[in-house]
Amino acid sequence: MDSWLERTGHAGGETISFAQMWELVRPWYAGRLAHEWRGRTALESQAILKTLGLTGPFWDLS
Amino acid sequence: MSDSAALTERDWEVRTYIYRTFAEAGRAPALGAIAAASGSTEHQVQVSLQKLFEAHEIAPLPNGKGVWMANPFSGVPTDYVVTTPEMTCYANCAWDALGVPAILGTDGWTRAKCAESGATLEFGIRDGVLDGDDGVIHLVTPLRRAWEDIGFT
Repeated sequence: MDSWLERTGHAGGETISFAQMWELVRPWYAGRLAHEWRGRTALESQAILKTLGLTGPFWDLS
Repeated sequence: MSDSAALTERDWEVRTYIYRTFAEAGRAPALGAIAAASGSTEHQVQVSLQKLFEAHEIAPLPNGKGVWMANPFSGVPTDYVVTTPEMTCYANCAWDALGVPAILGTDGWTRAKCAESGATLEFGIRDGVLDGDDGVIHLVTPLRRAWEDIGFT
């Protein structure tokens, strides 16, 4: 991973495991196929991230 | 931030039809099909797509004449091919490769190449459980800037 970051110039950012991502995508994409979907506020999205411990500047939506 | 308040019912109809088509067929609908389904002209659909982009709901193709992304789905081929029990589709990235089974509520299996080693990675959801190769996903763009260059993100 470190060599890829160095080679591509993509240093920084965040790295999460497949397991963490699976925990995230379920609430993240919940309800989006529904005809009633009318978007989600930044606060609601932030709450999903916070519940999973994804906090800090990288995850800040404000 | 996104501006979903500016969207009309027609815009939401366009969005719903796009998502339903991805979910059922694994591909993006053509402009003409969206227009017919939403009772719009193709020009009106293009206007809706731009508004949906500004609301961070849909990304149109760069020429505006089709659908590029309806996250987690991609309307163009990518390195993340997801196979579900019902269909095969493209996801936008590793995040979205797991997003496909999440949004569909089904199993979904992905074969992709590791960006570091080039090795084939297989992962996904089988019988409702995460399975396959262990791996990590590196996210480069801070989330609040994700839609500034959604293709890169």
